[in-house]
Amino acid sequence: MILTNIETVPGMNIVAQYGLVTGSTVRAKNAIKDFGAGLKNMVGGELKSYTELLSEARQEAIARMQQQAIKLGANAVINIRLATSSVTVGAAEVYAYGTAVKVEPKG
Amino acid sequence: MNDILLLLILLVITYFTGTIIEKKHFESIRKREIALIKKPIVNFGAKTWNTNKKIKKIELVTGECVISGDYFKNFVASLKNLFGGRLTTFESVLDRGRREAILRMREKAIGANFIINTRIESVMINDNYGKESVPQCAIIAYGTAITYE
Amino acid sequence: MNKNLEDKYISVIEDNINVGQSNAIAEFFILLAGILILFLLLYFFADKIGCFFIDRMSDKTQIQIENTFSYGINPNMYGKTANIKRLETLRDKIVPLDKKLQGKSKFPIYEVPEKEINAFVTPNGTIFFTRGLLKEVKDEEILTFVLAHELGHYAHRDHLKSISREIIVGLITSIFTSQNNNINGTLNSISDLNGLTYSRRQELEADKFANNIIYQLYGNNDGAIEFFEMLEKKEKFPEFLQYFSTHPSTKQRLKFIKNGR
Repeated sequence: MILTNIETVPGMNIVAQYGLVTGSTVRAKNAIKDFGAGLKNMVGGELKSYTELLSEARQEAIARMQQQAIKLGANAVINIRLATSSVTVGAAEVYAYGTAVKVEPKG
Repeated sequence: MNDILLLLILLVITYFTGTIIEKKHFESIRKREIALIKKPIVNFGAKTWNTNKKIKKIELVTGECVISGDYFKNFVASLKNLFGGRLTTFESVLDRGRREAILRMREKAIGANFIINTRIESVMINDNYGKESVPQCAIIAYGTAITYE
Repeated sequence: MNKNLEDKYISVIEDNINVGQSNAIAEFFILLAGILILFLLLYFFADKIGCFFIDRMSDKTQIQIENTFSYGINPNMYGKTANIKRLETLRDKIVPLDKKLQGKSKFPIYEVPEKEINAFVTPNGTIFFTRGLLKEVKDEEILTFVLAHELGHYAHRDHLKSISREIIVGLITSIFTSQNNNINGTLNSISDLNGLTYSRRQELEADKFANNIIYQLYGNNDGAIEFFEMLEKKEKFPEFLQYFSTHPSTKQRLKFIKNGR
């Protein structure tokens, strides 16, 4: 599966489009990690546990979007956009959406 | 003791009301999505999308929706927040909100053949720090509807 | 659009992949059980830590801590009834019998205008008897037993242990739930239920203390047995509800006292 965040797949022709596919997830870390991140806030720097949380959520959202695309018989998702929102404190929400298309090599 | 009783009653009531409302909402979303199957939406723009057909009308269409989870869902999610993991109760709320917003956008594009360059934005519109706050999510979906001649 | 693709769209819509498949109510109970277990463990360890330090504390520190508690009780408000005067003479008999009671609080005694049968001691050694208890119980030996039981709690520093446990639990829960007000409220109401109660072991220890006292004063513990037999008759709720009461079941205590004879 080809994933791009531009409107085309370079070197390929879009032969069919299947419409919008979406994936989203809400995830949280446990209270001990929340506490650790709160302490880290005092000194600043990267909050590793939250970075991890965000990357887990992103992976899952994209995986869900891909599953929808596979079901529709697409072999690429183009123009992917990622949006996040804060649902509650210490939880991350990632929403991924793009257009499922079928591509073929040029020529 | 009284506090716990009150909490339990509130949880039981909101569980049942929340479940009934969610079930109805999902059912209506499902029906409307199936009805709109033939009106495709894509989120790529004019660079990729080109057609030889004559175009009659181009219009910006938007759809918005503000949704909140019930007390029970919020309670379960905040329990889950202690242990970490996927907050499934919020997932269903946000999914409902997004699909509702997209559906409203699609329903506004009456007679259009195509909606291109769709964007979906969301924002939480209440503070999450208040004691009994239930997250409210505002979602806005917008795109360009194209009608062929 | 061909039929095949349409079916695919419908299957995607019905799949509902963005909503995790889980039973909210099952999840709720699992999470609640998890929280309860964690909370009980926390209570257990907080209790152990509190007891460890309080048992090793000197009498001087105890008095210092107690002096910080003030309940603003106006003695004139309650008045000195004949019952209270009687209790005060009993108190003056009990206090010299145990070293742990000497040189600390003056143990003022007050009557609470309430119907239920109860007596309790506050952290600074003030003892309260309910009007219901004083009405019901006239026998001197029984009153001595009740009074000695409350003084036993004081002598064992049970009140300070309870307070230290509450403080430790409160600190830890507030650290981990500070960002999560919903949970904080729930935990607070759960700890309300536990309140400033004593454990069953502490109750039995206080019974033992009181038992010793009345042995020294009267040479037998008939008063204690009579008291529990009276309580047993009065008890309305079944035994499985005992968790909600602060004391061990009366049967258990009666057995304990009879064995101690």
